Amino acid sequence: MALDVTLPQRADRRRGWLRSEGRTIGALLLRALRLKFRESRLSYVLAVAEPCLQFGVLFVLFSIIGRHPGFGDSLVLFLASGIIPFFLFTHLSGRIANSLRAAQPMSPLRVVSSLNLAAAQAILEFVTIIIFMVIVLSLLAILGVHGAIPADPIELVCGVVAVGLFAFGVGLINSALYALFRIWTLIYGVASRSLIFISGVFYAPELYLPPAYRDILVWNPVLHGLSWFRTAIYPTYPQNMLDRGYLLACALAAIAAGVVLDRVIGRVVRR
Amino acid sequence: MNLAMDSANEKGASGAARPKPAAGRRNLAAVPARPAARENTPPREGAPKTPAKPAVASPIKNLALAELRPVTPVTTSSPVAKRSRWRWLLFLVAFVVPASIGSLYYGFWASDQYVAEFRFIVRAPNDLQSAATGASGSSGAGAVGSSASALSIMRDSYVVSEYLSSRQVVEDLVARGVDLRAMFSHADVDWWARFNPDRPEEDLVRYWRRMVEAYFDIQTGIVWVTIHAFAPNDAERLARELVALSEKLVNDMSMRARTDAVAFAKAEVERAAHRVSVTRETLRDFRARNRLVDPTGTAQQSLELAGKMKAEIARLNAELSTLRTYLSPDAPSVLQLRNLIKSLEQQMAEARADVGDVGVEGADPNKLAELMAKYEALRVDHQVAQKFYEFTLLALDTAVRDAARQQSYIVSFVKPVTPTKSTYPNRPVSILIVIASCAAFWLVCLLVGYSIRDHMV
Repeated sequence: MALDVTLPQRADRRRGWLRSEGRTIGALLLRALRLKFRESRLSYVLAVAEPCLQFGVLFVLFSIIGRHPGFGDSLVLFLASGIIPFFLFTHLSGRIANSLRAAQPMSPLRVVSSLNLAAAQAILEFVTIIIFMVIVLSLLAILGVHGAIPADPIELVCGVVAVGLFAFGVGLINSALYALFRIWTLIYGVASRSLIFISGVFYAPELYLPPAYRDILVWNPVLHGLSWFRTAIYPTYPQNMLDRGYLLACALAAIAAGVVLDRVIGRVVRR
Repeated sequence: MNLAMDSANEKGASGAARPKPAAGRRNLAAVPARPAARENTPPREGAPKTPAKPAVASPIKNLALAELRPVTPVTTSSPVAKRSRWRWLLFLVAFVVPASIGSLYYGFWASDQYVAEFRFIVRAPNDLQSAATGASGSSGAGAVGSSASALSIMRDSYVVSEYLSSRQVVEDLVARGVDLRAMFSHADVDWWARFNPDRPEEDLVRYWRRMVEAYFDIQTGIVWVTIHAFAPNDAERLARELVALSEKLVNDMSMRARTDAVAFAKAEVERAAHRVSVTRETLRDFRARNRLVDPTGTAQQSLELAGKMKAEIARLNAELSTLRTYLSPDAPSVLQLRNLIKSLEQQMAEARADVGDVGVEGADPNKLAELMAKYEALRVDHQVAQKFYEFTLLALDTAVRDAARQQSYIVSFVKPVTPTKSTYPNRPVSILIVIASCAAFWLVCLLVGYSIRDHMV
């Protein structure tokens, strides 16, 4: 690895905090990578294989029960277009708290803050899901699934980044709340798993929701993330529920709340 | 930036308290320890993995403390001023400037926008019909009919809502004499929201998509359209034009479907008529060439005639032989009778020849049969052509009737009205949103800055 894992020296201060932060996050990233699957030599391969397998099982189940795709003509592509942003959200938001908990012994290290720990974990999860996405979409494209190559790649990148930012903010909030109540991961785990039903992973909320429910579910930012992603995949996906500004505002609010909570609760808890 | 000063002043206490939890969990520190270990000692020498754990952990503690301590005695001329400078700068850059720009824009500068809206549904008259058949018992057919018409209505609605934000509608509006460029680039419209009239058509279309919003609600079947403009009359006029254009589009589409279907049926009819005329022509040619109307009938007639003549000849022969018993062969009546028989025989031969080979001498008895087979084939051809023609006529009739039923149309139940009050931008809400997002942005930057500063070595 080209990354330098040494601790930033005092001389770095002259070269700037950005470089120091970058090196710290890089080091933490490597550490997170090593930690992720310590038992196995395949380590990172397994990390990527996990969402692939989950997706595969889901697809097999859905094709066995003979479900129709909510949009377009390919069930597997429709499921992928829902699962990828959904996994991006759940993996990022759920695993930052765990990583912070696992990194508690590092608290004497001065350069390690909860923010750069969270950033390292978030980058790792983000890259994992991006690799998952590239694998799934290119596999579908190779297998000849019509439309697996995104209609609007820039839109895709924007959507993925927006979902990532929101998930990062939620992850920060989670880790702060976890520091307060130990039971929080359990609560959030249940909540994020039931989120799959109200985010439109298995159906197109634009098309198949009665207006009454739609008016409620439209407040779910993850749903906007899915819509954004699908808009990038399908050129004709209906955009009547998608509000990009809302998702970005939620991301900003979540990050702000997360940073504030991290600071406030961090002080309280560390005593 | 003298961040180290800060951390020394502010975080001295918490920094000192920091190692405490780590002391309790020292055994877990193996992984973070390794980078640190590489720093101080050559990495792999003294550290076999497991037994080294506590040994490696304690240098970290020392390291952390050691890195902390020398920070304290740094002195600068005015620490307080330097400390707060970056925060003030951040506050200014991340909050004050954008928030005040946004608030001033929305508070004083942003031009009023007037919003006109209309809603419509696409209806097809066979809605009612299929519903009726569905209710009257033939549920299967009714369901199929209604789902098919629902599908076409859905498609039409989608088409209209796509059309209203397309380049085509911009061009159609301009073609109808609506000067969009002038409308959106009034001199009194603020610079940010104004459209620069020198920009190309593509930019106008993008701008248009910002000003018009059309979407189709599949659950209710309603198409909602809202139009923003900078003057109430403009908004109303645009809305009216859009209603007219949507109506025209739907009418054109159903007209097209209708004319297509009918044209196809008409072409079919023409083809069938042509075929009928061709078969009739061949049949007529055949008859003319062979000088007969109906070979079957002709043959029968000839045979009947020949039979009659034979009987007549037999009768005349009998009469002749009777006459010959008491008359001389030269007697006039005998001569007359003979002539009669002779001509009858001749005619009978002719009639026979007709049956054997119509119109041609050297009678070939197979010829008539051959001719009849040919004739039958032509006749069947002609009959099939005629039946087909009748069928296509019927189909044309059905197509015309179906087309009349399939004519979908727009019912706009919320008609565009002239807005009397500007409803966009919603100034208080916009200002609040701007301030809140700037505040959130500033907060994030500040706290991230704090976090970085606190954890600087």
